[in-house]
Amino acid sequence: MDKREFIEKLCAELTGLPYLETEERVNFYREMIDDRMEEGLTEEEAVGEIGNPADIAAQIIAEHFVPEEESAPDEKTKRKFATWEIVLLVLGAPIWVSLAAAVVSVAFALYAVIWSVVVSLWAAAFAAAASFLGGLVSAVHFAVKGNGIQGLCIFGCALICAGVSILLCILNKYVTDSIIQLTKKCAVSVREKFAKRRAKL
Amino acid sequence: MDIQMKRGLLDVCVLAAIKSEASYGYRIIKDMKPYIELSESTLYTVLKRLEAAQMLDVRTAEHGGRLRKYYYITKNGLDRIEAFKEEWKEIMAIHSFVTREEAQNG
Repeated sequence: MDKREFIEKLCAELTGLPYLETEERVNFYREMIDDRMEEGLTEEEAVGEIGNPADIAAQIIAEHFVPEEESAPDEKTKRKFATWEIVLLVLGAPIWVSLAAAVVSVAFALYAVIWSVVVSLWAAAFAAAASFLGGLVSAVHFAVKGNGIQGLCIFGCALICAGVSILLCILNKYVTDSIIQLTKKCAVSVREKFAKRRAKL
Repeated sequence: MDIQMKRGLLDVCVLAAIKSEASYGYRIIKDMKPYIELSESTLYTVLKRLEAAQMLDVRTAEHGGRLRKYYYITKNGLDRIEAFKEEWKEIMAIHSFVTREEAQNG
């Protein structure tokens, strides 16, 4: 088995683990294989020394879902904490629920604002493209009627519109892609946080 | 060996492996091999645990056109090694007590 095959198998077995953890684990094994190869081992030998990806993945998953740090004092403090925490949570509900709602709606509004900018940019691009088509039609119309100079003038304007439209499309694609990437990253990190908290509980 | 005891020993061994200078994963395994066998996944868990306890720092550095993680011992880590040496004296006392009882019974 070569390194690529090993990594692919490990990744396939590790589905269900948070993305960042999988990546960190895989990088760790990749480094281990590379370091062995640097010592003169062949790729096959290096991978062989690491072991079977299925066994490794099984061990990783077992560790992940049964956190080892489960000690008695921890549980006690947790229970004690929960009692007064619940009281505080209930008493403070009118405040923190509305605050949380406000935070969520502000975040949502900000996100909507970002997307509305994107939508308007795309609208501008389409408008420019439409102007190009319209300009082309009227240029032909003028040319057929014998007003060559006016036709040429409008044709020039139409070409400018086409250029603007193409530039806007390139810019918009970049902006849209980056926002989608950013959204994905945020979603992953939020999910990671919740997953970690759940693993701790 | 008892799991709890082995876990504690592995922690101290890994700290000892990075005590004199920073080291990386494969070298830690190689350095420890004559004393205690350690699999990659076990090492990963130990390193994570020590990092969470702030007994070591992790820094990524480029090496031969790729990235490699280097582990540096911290003040907490050095303290842990010193504490282990003290604990070991107690364990040796317990050991001599346990073996003495065996000798009396046997």
